[in-house]
Amino acid sequence: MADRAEGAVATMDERGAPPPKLALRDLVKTRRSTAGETVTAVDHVTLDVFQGEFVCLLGPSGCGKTTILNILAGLDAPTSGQALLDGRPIAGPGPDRAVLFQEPALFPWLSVVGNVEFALKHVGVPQDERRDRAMGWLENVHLTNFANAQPHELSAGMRQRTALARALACDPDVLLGDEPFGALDAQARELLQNEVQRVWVESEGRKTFVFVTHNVREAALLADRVLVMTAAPGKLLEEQRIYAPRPRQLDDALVSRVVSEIHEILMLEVSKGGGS
Amino acid sequence: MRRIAREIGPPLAGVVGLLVVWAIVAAFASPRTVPSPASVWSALRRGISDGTIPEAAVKTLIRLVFSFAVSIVIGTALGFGLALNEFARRSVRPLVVALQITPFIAWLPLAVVWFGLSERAVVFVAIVGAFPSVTLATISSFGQVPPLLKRAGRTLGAEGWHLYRGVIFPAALPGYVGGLQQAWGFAWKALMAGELITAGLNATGLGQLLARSQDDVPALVATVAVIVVIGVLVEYLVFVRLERRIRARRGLLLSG
Amino acid sequence: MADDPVPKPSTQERLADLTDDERLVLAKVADIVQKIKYGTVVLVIQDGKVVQIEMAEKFRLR
Repeated sequence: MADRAEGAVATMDERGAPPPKLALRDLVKTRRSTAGETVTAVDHVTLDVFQGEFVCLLGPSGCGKTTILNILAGLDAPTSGQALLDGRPIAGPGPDRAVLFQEPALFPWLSVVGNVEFALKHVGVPQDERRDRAMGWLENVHLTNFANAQPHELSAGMRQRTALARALACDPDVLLGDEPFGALDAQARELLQNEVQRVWVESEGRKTFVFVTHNVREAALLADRVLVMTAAPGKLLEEQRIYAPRPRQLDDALVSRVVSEIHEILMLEVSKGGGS
Repeated sequence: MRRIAREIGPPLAGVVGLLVVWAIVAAFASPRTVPSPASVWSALRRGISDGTIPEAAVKTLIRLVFSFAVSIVIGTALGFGLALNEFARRSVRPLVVALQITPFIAWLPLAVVWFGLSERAVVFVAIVGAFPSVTLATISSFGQVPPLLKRAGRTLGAEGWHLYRGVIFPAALPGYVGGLQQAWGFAWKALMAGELITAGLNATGLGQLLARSQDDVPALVATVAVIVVIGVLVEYLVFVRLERRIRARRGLLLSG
Repeated sequence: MADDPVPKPSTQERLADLTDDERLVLAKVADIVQKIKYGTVVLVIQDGKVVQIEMAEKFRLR
């Protein structure tokens, strides 16, 4: 295999291959702080995500990973540089890139199944098919018994599962997650991590997942590639490419090893004054 | 059944208490200043059976529903327009606030100048009194839609009009209905005041009935009672129930 | 495995003693070592046999 230049390995320059599903080219994002200064959230980030990969962006708060996710989702635009979907600039949000937010963002005026039907409606599923397909997605996340409940009647974990069903109902090519398990207790989190793993495996390479997290174990558990970032201004620090089959457990030897290596480098960054 | 009893119980006790106090006071006062509950009751029965009260009530309610409907249309359209355009909002909203603060009765003399001492003047005042609440509630309820829900809607493919219809309107509904409730109150008060003052008309509503009954004190009190009951009934049968249903669905009820 | 008291077998002798399966595993590991600059290889063993080879490759980006 050819030598890879340092700094260029978050992208893969393979001629003849189809363009990456998602790509960032020298992406910069700045914003105005309340004091009026320009703050750089994302500092010249270049990376590729190929179809079928599960990528985790890992880093402390303030490292710009959520900003990158918002740009990939089309909810935000680059200050300079490019954000590409299938080689073309990202124009805006859409059901081809469904998003799981940290708060489930369920519509409170709709029932659980109503929320899933909402997604189906906006991808053009005809009215008479919606209920059945929605129930199918709920079955996938084991929530059929709560189909007619209102969101406020569910636990946080169940709400996030509903959000997952709703996101998947769009049949998106890409699933983006903005620390979707951050607000859950340990048990619910583990359950959902396994659900997400399962769904990705079942998609058999058709779906690309990009999750943002500050939980190192979660990243090593879920991802093919973990991209470690520094705190503001956000830059890519290191990439861990993990070749281990799924389902993975948190106490797997390789997972544990990767976790400690990532911890090591994050500690190193902190001690260098890289912030945390 | 028990829940209804629990809800009606305390207010009913309050009303009964009021009646008791009233009866006691009436026993000591002259019948021309404080009529007894019994005399008011018979005046009420008289007014209903000879048709004056029902007729007046119907006329008033027709005017009220009309004013309210027009206020909703104007108020919502204006509110929606202002919610969409920031410059328009920042220039026009303060005017609407000023309108809402101004006692609606201040408009009556001007209304009489424009429309004469007519029903139209009264309805005008009711509309002017009510629509600002609808406008302001529309603007604020749109502004309070959680941005996260809008973002979620957009990532699910709802944009533009679809986002409004699917996400923003339903999310804004509780605040909007609150504004309608407030507008109703203003319309009711404005209408009553207007009717009272334009009592020289042939078209009698409850307000005009009030003005004409000044010699018949029991009838006066009876009319007041009718006015009170109508207000309470609409409030509870329509608004409270509506609000409760809307909030229960969304898990916004304050108590369990 | 019986220990020879002295001398210890050379690497070549040990390699010659291996089964085909074991040699396959070693070849794969050698492959990985050649490809990867920084990383980790994990051999998962069950019943005395290597059932899985997992690896993680690390790239410094700054």
